[in-house]
Amino acid sequence: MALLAKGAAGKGESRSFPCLTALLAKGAADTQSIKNYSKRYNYIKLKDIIKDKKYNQRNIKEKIIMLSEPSSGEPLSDLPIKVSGLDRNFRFKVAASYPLAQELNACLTCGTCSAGCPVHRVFPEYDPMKMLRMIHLGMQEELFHSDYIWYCATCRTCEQRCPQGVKFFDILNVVKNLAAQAGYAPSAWISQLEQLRQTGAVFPTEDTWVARRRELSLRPLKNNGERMSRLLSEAGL
Amino acid sequence: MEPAAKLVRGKSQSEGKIGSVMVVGAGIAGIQASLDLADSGYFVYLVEKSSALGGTMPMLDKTFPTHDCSLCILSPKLVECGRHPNIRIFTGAELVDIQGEAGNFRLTLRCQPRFVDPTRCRNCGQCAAVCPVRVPDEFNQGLDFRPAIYKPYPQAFPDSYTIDPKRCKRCRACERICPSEAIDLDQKVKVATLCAGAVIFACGFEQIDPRELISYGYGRFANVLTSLEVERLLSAGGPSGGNLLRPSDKRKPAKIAWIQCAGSRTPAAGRGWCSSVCCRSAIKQAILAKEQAAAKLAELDAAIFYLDIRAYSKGLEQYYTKARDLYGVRFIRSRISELIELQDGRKNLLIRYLCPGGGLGAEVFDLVVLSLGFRPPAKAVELAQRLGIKINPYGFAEPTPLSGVETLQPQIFVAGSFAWPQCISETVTQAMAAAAVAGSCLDKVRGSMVREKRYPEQKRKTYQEPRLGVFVCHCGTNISQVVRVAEVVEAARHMPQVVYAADCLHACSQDSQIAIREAVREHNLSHLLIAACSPATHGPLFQETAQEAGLNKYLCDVANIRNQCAWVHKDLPEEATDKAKELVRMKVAKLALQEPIWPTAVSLTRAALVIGGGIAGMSCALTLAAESGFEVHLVEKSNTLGGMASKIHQGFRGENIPGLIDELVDKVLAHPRIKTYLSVEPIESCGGMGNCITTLSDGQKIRHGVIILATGGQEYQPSEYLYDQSERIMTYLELDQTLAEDAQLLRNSRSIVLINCVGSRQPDRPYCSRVCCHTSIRLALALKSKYPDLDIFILYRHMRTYGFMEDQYRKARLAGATFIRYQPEQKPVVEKTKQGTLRVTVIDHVLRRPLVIEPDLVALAAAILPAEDNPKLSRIFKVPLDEHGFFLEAHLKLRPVDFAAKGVFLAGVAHGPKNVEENLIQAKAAAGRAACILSKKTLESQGIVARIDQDKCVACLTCTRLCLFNAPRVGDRAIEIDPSLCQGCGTCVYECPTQAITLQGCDDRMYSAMTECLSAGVQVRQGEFEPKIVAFCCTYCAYAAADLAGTMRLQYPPNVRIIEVPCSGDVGEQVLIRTFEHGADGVFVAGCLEGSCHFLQGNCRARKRVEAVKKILDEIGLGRERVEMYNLSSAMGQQFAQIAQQITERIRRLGPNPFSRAG
Repeated sequence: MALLAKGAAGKGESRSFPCLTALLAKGAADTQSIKNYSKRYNYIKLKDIIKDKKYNQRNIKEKIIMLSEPSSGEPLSDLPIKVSGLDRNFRFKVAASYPLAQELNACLTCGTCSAGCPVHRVFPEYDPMKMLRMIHLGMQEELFHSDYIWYCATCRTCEQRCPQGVKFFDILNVVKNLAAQAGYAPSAWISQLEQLRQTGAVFPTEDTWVARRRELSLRPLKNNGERMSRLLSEAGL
Repeated sequence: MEPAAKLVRGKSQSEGKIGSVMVVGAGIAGIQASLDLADSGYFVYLVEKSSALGGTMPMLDKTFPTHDCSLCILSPKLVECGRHPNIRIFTGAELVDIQGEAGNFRLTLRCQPRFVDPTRCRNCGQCAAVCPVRVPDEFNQGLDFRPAIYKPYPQAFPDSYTIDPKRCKRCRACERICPSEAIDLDQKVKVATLCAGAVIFACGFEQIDPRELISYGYGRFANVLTSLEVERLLSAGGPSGGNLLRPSDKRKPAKIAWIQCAGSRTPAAGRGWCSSVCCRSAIKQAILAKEQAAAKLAELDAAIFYLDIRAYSKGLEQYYTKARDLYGVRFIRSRISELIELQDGRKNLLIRYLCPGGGLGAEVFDLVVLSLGFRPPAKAVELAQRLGIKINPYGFAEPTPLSGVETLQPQIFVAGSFAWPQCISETVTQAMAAAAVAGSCLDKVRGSMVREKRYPEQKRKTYQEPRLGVFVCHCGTNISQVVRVAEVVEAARHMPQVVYAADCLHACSQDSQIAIREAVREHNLSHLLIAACSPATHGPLFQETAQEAGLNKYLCDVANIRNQCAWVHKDLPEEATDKAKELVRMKVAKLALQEPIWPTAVSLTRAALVIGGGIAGMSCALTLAAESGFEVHLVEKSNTLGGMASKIHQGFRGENIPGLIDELVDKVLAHPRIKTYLSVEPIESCGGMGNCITTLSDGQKIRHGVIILATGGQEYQPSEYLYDQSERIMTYLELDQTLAEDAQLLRNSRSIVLINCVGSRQPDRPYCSRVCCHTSIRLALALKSKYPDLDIFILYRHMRTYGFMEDQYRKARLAGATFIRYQPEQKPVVEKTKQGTLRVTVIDHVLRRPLVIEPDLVALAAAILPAEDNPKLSRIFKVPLDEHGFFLEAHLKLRPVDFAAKGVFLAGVAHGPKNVEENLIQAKAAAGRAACILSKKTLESQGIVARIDQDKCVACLTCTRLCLFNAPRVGDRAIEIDPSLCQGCGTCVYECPTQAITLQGCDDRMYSAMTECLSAGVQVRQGEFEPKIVAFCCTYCAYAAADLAGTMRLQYPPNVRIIEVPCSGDVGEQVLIRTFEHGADGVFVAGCLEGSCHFLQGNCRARKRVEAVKKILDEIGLGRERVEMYNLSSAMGQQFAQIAQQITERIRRLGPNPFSRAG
């Protein structure tokens, strides 16, 4: 799928972007910065607790009791939503623009998607059920302006577990496309694209890797930037 | 079982139709259909693929919402079915082929061998003990093991062991050890060919395979159970003896989660239907688990993760709120994505869920229960497809629209969860309806194939010296875990006139019945007393046992030591045992005085009176009248037939309702045996089952044998949401009309808001109106198809689109309707703006932000109210109403269309809110039940009637003035009492100045003998005076309330001794006074609620008598407070327990009765 439309630079550029994928894209993804994010979002890495045999049972219980409190119960906004100001055709537009997105309105608001989402666990504001609801209600503007539509880790757990067969991943892609078309792509994505265009790889090659390859007598990495650049322009980017 | 070849029965004459019916599947649906058919003149072949009758119901621990023990209420039916002369049972049998035509099918069965001859097997269990094989026990859901030769469950019928051929190792150890040579391992598969006029498919359901739900880890995680496994663990007869324990470490769980919609409501996996029952059974299991923990003084946290709590059936909404508010069951609206088994050494389970209030919650549970849904049984689906029965996309049999039970093939019917997932009461209703329609189609050959049941000749002599036999039942562990049964048996052995006493595990089971009959023979017993459960449920069964043993059935009585001892004094084993002994002693004293009663045959008016000309009434009338059936009088208050349904334009699946009504009206008016009375209503009715005379408001008198109340309901006129302030705000019925008219109002609208639960499910009207959710979906779909641009918002609380309506719900969502779940604390606000437009504000349940809608129209799901005439009809026909004004059936589960009073039935919205199809099913069911009575050759008079000693009678005419049933007539020289009209209330007995009248079986001497049994002396326990209190309880209401108190396990002081009386009006002043003479410290009389006495005024008379006794007690210095009169309905178990509590405290304050002997 085409991810970015022409002229996608623009509005996303100036915003800070607290997303894991974005951090990775910038090559700044060391453990410390993830931990900082975890702290910021009051995140307890449950899996670590569970796997760490050193924790005794009581400890686990305590941690879990902490977790049993709603991690972030506050809505992003509590302003009233006026139906008259919504684009009530947005849901049909999204559903119609990609075959796998057509079951969008079947959502039961059961919360299975969010409960199983690994990103939601880290970033509570990334809430698939809420985003689906916003799409359904027609809160297009709010969605486009938000950062979190870009957080998806593409694991597709939501789709696997959804009892109604709603393909959230695909629906979100449609929304991302629409957002990009409207000029809302985040800077990280733009820089990632730029990286791709220049080097042919999504992640930058670090000098240490180049040195290591030389040590191991591996052939130097080829720069595919030119080919990729051609491909991207053929795809209309 | 006889060899199959013998079973082929001859054809009957009329039009080649055959007066027998085959019922496929012997779950509760098959059993009920078979019993109804066999009781209304047809021979039944009951075909069951497993080795025992019962289906799923015997696996359940209790039934919601009354917490009746599932097996207790089923067991009498199993026995009745098993010994019915007109039901032939084939176990291990499958229907493989149907040939022939409607009315005359040739059916081929393939019968697997049992390898054990049920007529020889004595259930000694030696075979099972030597069997080397151990395999998971299917009945216990694989939670424990069974041998290859086994009995599925102790109460199973056929009452014998069977061999599982797949598991048997052919070692022949069982064959060698069997003392009765019942085992024959060389039996082969038999093929039987039978002829029947109709076939009913009641194949039930299978559980969805929990292993398919991969992320829930069933099978991988030790502490994940299915709902049926929990039922078995909760059951006293289950693998853990009734203790809900964790499989991993057999410890009691402290925190249990139920996951709803496990497997159901998942169109992504091809299972889009709602299994309807799981919500209600999860609530039940949560309550039972909480009660079990509380009984052991432990804390239990129960959480139910749900999507919508579908507690839509009668009494269930209140059950849900009780579970939430009283028991503290946590209900969390969230679907679970996955379960994680913790590596903490305890195999606890982590559940992460989206909190309804926002954010992510995580909790660790000791035990997780998957509320698994139903799916159609694979084999049945295959067979149905072969026979041309329409199967819906999910594999369930699909009845033709608005028939409820019929299939595309004439004379082939479906019933029970094979048609759609449903609970026991709905299954039973549908089975009754299928039986009714099958019977109605074959009515020309009714009675052509049946055989009469003959009992051994009864001894006609009266007994000089009674020889009593006492049998004390353990009721599994129901009784014996509190009452020390052995002690009661020992005490009984020493009671006067008792020559034999024994205990039995289940007195109602087939083996105990045999044991009782043997004992009668061996010890030459003249009277039988069974100390077991309630005579209301099991009395008839034990009476039949007596008859089979050659005794008059009135010489058998039941002492209720389960509902009145074990269940209500569960923490007081000492007192409960003492009380049980005393109850047995009282009944022994009574029984010793009992003489045989010979019933007189009563003629029968073969006509039915149907009140209400709505679809239920009309459909009921047509089913009864049929081709050559019974005469029907259809009485309608208004001037047209059709009722409320004439305001509905479409059924939930798009069915044509006006067309249905027109068809029904035409058929009713054209039918030669249906007489329609319009613009009249009944004003008076007298007589009993078989012969009633009802007077209508225009003075006409109708003679009829049975009554069916199908009074319908009405729509609530909302006072909320500005309903009366704008023509743009309307009810769903009005919107339906607007839609049908294609009104301008609707055409010009851009958006509409539908609000559910208006007037229902709120404190002053707590019931669920059941149809509103469906209606909102139907309206949304109809609106969308007509006006595609209309923006629809549906505001709901719980979307109760059970069964296949779930598909419609999904369709409505896909069509673009927006569903918003509101909380009762934050109801939507409907306002009128200054511009005159409407504005609705509601909190969006997902975003938790107010949503402001400016709709052009607002429609309200106004509640369904009971018909306003119900209280009046309740008085005229002496039948009870529930607390909301709907009629109260005899038993919520197994007698859904019967009243406790014989010969009176109910159907449709008169019973509670329901949709058109459900109304039709219930109407047919009521017709079938009525046909069971009307098809009898003669009715036997109620055994207990008043008799007059004409030598004593002075013809003062007191009785003739008193009797409301016109039973006493002036004869030649004295009064005569007509036994067919006498209802046995005993009102006349105590008013007769010369005491010439006695009531058979409940006379003064008996009450006196019973009260004489009160233990002598003042009892003091733990330094406190323990009063002896005698309660005279009317069998129809107060005694049933006491039974209910037992069923609900309400605990009350063990001081109260209940004496069952036919009517509170049967308790004379002298009986009350004598009770005090015999040492009672307090007495109370409990009758029906005023205005609903089964005998019209018995309870009022009782009140007067109690007042008179109060005066006497004052005069003799005992004090008026020692006697009291109460009015209870049979639904007031809670109140009964409170009364027992209050009066015990009151008498305790008053101190001992000064007359108390040795006091």
